[in-house]
Amino acid sequence: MDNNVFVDAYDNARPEDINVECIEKDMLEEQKKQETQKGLINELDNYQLDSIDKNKAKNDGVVIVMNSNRRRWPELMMLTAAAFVVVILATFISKELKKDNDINVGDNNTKTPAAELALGNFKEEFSESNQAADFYKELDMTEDILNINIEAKVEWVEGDYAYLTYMNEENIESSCKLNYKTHKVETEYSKQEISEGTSCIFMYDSKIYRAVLGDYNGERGIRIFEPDDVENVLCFIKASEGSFKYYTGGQNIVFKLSDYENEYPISSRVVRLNLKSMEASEIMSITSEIINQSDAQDLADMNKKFRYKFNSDSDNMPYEGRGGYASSIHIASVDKEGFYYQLPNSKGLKDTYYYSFDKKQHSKIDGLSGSNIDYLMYADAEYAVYKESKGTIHIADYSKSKIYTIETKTEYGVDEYYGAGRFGDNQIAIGQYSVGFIILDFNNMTYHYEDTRSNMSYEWRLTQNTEGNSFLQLMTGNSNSLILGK
Amino acid sequence: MEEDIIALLSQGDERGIELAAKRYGALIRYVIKGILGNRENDIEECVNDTYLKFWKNYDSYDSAKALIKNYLVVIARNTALTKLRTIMNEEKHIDGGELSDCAKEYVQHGMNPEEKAIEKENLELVYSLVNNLKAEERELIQRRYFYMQSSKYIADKMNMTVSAVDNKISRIKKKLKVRYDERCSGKDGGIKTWTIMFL
Repeated sequence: MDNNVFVDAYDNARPEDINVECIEKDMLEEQKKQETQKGLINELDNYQLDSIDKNKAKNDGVVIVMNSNRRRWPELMMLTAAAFVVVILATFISKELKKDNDINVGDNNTKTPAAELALGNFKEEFSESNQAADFYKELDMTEDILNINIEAKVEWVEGDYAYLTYMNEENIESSCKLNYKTHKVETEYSKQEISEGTSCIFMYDSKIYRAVLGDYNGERGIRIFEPDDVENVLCFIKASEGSFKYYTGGQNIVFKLSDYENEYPISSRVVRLNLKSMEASEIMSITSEIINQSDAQDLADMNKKFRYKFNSDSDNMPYEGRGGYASSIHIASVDKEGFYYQLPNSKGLKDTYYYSFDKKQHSKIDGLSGSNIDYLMYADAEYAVYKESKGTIHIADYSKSKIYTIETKTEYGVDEYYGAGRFGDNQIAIGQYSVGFIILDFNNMTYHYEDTRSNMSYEWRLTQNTEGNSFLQLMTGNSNSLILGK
Repeated sequence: MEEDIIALLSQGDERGIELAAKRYGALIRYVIKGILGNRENDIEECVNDTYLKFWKNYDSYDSAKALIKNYLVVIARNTALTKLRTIMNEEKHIDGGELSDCAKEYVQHGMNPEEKAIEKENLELVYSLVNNLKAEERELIQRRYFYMQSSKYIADKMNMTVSAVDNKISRIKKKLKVRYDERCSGKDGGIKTWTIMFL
């Protein structure tokens, strides 16, 4: 009811007060996305699913296709998607506790080696599964201890401590350090001054840090401090009105800053914070200049509407001819040596680059650029996960020169899949927004799916000429593909 | 600029509307679709109504204040909302799957019209307070309550998490409440009204 007051209030809106540019930007992005998808779908039809019954595959649900297309790949990088994995693993352990280690596989309540393997890897990651189980018992109690809602998010688990963020009863973003051995909350942070604006928690060298965007000593920027020492600012990164995303890898945290000027974001910066030295350095920035804002015909062509100036600390960064919006730098993953990112090119498609911290050099990765890829979810030296078109996710295994395709037929298609990361050796995890996640095990060639809504686990093994349970169908005439029915 | 459209409309030439439709048709449709979901026939009707309303009220257009597209977007939004209200009155069941969460809430609210939250004069005050917010805050509120976009959609477009969107909107509303109370402190019922609004 309260929200409708604002809806009704806008009945009195004056045209001059309404931000039309933001909705124009949305519309153009959607149009571009649709056009790109059309092109990619056509391409996909031509090469990707030739070996199987395409129509049947598309009608039946999820498809895994092995494809031996070789793609180029740089000899760089290892990467951790720690935050992502923590969330996934935390969910996993919670479910493990609830199910008392009894994993459902398909229709049968039996354990499988692969399911155990997945859990085994998880335990190995955190090494102390009993502590983790205790922690979750404690987490269930945090509602009483902190008087918080149950939507507390596990940011990190380290030693005896878990670090949570949540909204307190006054609806202020808060965080706490929870000792799950003593079952006590040792530190609680809910100060208004650190809750304003965007914030994040990250860990380096067994220490927890917090980054908060807000005003500090009359300047606006990101403050880095240890949560229990708010006053001691370890690093300050200038940032104007806007927001940030962060990506961690090794001893580095890379911030993507979206700076707002006037009415909507028109600049984007990438800043690296070396956690060892606590020194921040700007890697690249993009500023946009509106050439002809009012010519509606040109609005259909973003390349004509905006001109961009790229600033970078190296000379090999592409400077001219780029279209798209300044905020469209997308960082996919960070490791100790550099990071992967995407930029729109002059044709409206996306190119992938790798930036090396040491060499201060941007290298274009052809195999992950242009019409081959729409959105890079994750990349490292061995694997890449990317969305190619609506309903299609590809996982490239460069050690085996194979590309696997997951085709979904959900309401939002690949939009439901929000992130990906490494999950132990030769395993890739792909998160599905509010629904579940997938773990692909390339050692055992299994596809494991966790449905977090129904609290069920499913698993399929990639085998040849074997009839599976009701969730598995083997395509005749093709020994290395299968369809997973819904 | 829009001089060509203005020149035609000033002479009562309907080709001005055709030109405006050619330039801004996709934008208007996008705004309306955000409120009405996939109801194609209703969307088409609202698009046409938008042009008609602008044509009929062109005399009140002031090019010094805003561009034509701003006027069209405001008309389109209000036309779509009026349509939504009509649909709510005519149809007992509306498929919520077609609508954003904000629109869904609006639909549910519309089923109980006796729950009038606030007087019109106070609505104008709310609007003026929203209008004085910082740019990012205003965009959040506009996206949510003017364009009726979902939190997930806003998060995607503004590079934020869904919870950050919800949290920020919640904080902004709290801030507005304080300002509203200050402005209404001399008026009877001002605080009471806000109490209702923020329950």
